[in-house]
Amino acid sequence: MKKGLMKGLPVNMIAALSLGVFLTVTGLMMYYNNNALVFPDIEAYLSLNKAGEIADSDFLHFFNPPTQGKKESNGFLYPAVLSVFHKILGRANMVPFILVIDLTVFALLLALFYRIARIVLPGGMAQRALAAYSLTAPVVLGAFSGSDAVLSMTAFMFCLYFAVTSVEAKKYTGLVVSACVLALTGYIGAAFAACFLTYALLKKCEKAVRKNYIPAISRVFGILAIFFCLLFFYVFVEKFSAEYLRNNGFFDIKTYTVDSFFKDGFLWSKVLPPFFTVFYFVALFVMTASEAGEKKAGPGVLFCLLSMTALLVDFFSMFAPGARSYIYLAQFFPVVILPAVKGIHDVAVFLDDRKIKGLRKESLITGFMIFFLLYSAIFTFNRVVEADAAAQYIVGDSKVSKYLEN
Amino acid sequence: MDKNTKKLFLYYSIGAAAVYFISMFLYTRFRLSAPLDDAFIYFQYAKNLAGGRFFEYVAGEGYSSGATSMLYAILLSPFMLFLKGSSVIFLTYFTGAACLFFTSYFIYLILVKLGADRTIAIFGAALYVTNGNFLWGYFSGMEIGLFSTLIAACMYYMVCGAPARTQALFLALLAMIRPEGFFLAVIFAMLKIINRLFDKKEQVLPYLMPVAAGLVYFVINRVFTGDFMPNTMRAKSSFSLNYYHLTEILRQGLDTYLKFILDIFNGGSEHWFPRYSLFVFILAVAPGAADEIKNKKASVFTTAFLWFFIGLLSTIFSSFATVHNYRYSMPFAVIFTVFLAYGLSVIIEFIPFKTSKQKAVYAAAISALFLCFNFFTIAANVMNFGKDCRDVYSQSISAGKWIKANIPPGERIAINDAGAATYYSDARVYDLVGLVTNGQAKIFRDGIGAVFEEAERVRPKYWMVHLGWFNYEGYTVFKKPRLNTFNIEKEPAYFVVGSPEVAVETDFTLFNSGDTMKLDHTEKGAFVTTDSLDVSDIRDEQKHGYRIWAGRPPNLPGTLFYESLTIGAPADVKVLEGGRITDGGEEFTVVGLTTGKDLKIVRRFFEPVPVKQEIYIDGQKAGIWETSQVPGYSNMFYEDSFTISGDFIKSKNVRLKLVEKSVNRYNVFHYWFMQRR
Repeated sequence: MKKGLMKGLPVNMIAALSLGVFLTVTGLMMYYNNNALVFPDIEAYLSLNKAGEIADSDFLHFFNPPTQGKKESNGFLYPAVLSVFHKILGRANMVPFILVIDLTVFALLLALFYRIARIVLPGGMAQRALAAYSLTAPVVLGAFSGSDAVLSMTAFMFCLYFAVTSVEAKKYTGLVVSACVLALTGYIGAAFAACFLTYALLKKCEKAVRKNYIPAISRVFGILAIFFCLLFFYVFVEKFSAEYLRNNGFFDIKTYTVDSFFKDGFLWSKVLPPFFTVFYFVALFVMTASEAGEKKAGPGVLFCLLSMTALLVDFFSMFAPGARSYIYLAQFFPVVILPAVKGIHDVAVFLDDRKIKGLRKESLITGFMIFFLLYSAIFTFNRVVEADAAAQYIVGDSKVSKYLEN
Repeated sequence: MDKNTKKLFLYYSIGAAAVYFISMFLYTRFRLSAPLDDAFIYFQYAKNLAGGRFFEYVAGEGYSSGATSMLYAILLSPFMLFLKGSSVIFLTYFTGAACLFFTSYFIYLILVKLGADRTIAIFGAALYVTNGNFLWGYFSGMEIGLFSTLIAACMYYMVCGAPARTQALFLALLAMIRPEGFFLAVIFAMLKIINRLFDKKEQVLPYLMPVAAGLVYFVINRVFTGDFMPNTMRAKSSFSLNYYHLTEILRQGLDTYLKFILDIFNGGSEHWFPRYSLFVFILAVAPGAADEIKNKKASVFTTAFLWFFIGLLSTIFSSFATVHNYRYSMPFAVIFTVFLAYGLSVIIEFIPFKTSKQKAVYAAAISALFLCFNFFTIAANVMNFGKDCRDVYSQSISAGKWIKANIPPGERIAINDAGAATYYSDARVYDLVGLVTNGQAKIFRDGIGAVFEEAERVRPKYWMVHLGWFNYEGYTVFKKPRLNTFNIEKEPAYFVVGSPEVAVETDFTLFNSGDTMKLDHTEKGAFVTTDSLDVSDIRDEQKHGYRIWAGRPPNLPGTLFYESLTIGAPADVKVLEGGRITDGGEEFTVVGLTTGKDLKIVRRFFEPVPVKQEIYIDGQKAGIWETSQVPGYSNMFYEDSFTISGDFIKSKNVRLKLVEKSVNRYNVFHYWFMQRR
């Protein structure tokens, strides 16, 4: 397995990207905290406190540590895993330890993403997609947030990996196990896990689905959408009352636009480069249309299911003003980046066929990727700086300050 | 470009100038004005140049670096020999129209050389010259038109493969027109150096000449003012702030940059270009740049890509980046327009038409869409232009004429819009913002407290300021009543002028009132003052190597300016002083001490709160200075002291450091350093 996973990996590129991002993020973190390592979001410390309580109780509070987490971003599994290290390493070493883990996991995510990209994308596009993934703001912020995000991103990536590799060969164990782990990371992870398992089920029952493909797929989407609406309403709407809705800022918006209804903008437009999701949409349509033509559910259907879920999460997050979307949505972004890069390729091939002077396929792809990568690098830098600058508002909290004491 | 097309663009340029001139004339009720006060800064420099005074803003007061475009001022100067007063405004319409024509000419030629057909080339030129925003810039009296034309010319000579000396000549002019032009010349020279690494035949030396030409401006500044940067950059650049966090400056600037690209170039705000224009631009320029990079020979596409994106970036880290209709970024729209038109031609090529007639109809439809958009940009900007001219006339020009008529010649007058007020009056101005007064820009960046401290030195007898910038009306600085007020009805488009501009005489009553202690700290003559530090007085701070910092990034120390009584001092003794506030600490050098003698530090602060500072002398901890609240008093100054044992004073000059240890912020206005006799 290890040999298979490592084979053909652009190790130098992954190492350079991981270290580059890690050094930038930790450098900024230290700059904004007078050389101390402080995670910018309280969510990380909620998990750390839970882990500490579990460890301090000699694991008696394994299922019910006293610290209250956030429903959308503080699951059961992450503190449970951390508690073991908390016991071994002690409180003072937890933040540096988590950062090292984050770096390792980030490199692992890149490796897995590359593997998936090699399968999903046409030749030569995987490395470009890898660069785009490693520079995407929610991915960087989530991976180095010190929160549950790192675990949910890993579990999600494994699910995706098995979905595009093993499931095609009718092997389900890997996907089922990783989906179960993903489900334990929290409510949002559970929703994505449900998508993966549904996909596995569709593949398992491929022959039956083929007989009545469109109605069957439509029903799956419909049922999951209703279920997720209820779930996300429970997760994000703390209290359903007129007063709550009035006080959460949603009704204070001066001019409503489509973006007002989504935390990260419509189709994540506030966190991705301009036009990026246009390509994502192009590729997704092509993928799902060809799968519909063959009456065979494939990555297109899976990506659509996951996208629908993410869009609903983004919509319901608007009812929780304090929620930081990158912590619970960072896991999802491979699902946008892979089709988007494929979309760029498809459009470039299409234009190349027209034999227009100066518009060769390679130059079009490289040209657009240069623009997207530059935009992402600037945007991500800005968001990391913004997050670290906001750390000043949590350092006074006892949940955080106890991790700053030597 | 054939003769008829040339004529068309020439007549159009003249017509556009006439339309904008009429708008100005109607809005100002048949008077002459410009939409920006800054244009008059160039006119003033040009006037004095024509009079043999090398970049003197105030005659007889020496060189100042307030003309960001030295070349533009030099080009204007011969005309100033025979153009007097407002008549120079006529010239700006002639130069604007000429630049407009030449820009269209070069855009046409670039597109033809890039392989676009003639119709697209004409469309590209029309796309630029029919945009009302750029017309606003070309007829503003600023160097925008000249800069844009030079960019277009350089691109043309680049794309047509002109001899290196021709390219170098135009690049040299580009490098001299503005600092941003210098950056473009540097980028181009660097590309040539990179090309040389892969192709030994590539010439490099001719392209270094423009860089050298551009450097001349910075060297002249250094020679005459001691600073390479012009005053204009010092007064506006985010990197010229006295206290800042680089990461915060980068974040704010880059956020503005991305927003600017999406709102303005991608049509988000539907102001300069229609929606999705950026996509078309990228489609046209990025693949070409990628091709050139792959072939290891950077040429027009790579240059255009870098010039556009880096050029824009170079304008964004400025407090003025988003006002004046984005005038600093405007010249780069030439590059954008060329490749926008080229991209549209690509899109037209992309669709398989059955007949050439179909293609022509489709091309005409796309062109019409863009030109229709442009028609409304003209409609909008003709009105904006007229209103801006009207309001500049109502404030800046009227203020200048009033100064000429009412202020005795030779009297020092503090101003904050340096252009028309000086051009029409030739007064001895002291520019509070620091564009035309050397050394003032740094002071201006620290707020009205620091500016007042400097004014205590300069002692201007009169002030002509916008209250939104320098509102000293709540303090004993301005005599009442005002001598005159120049109002406008509403804030004009593009923030060219604004809040009421007032003319006042100075009330010197409280000038230098903060320089002395109001309480007796001598302990019956046992202590004498050896040194003092006027915090917020930038010159005094520099003398003492003063540094202040906040407790943690991204916070910064703040500035204060108060007029009040002092707790414990007589009730008729007021103090007016600027100060600073922080939760971090300060560091400075105290000079002229006697070794081994106790040092008493007296500090003036405002409305004391409980604070606690660790004090270090030359790195050695010398004590903790605690200050508590004074019950029963509020909104008053207070003077507190702390004595350090003489054992810590081991040299004549010591470095003193205070580090705040409480969670509160402390403020400081003045330090006095006393030693035992």
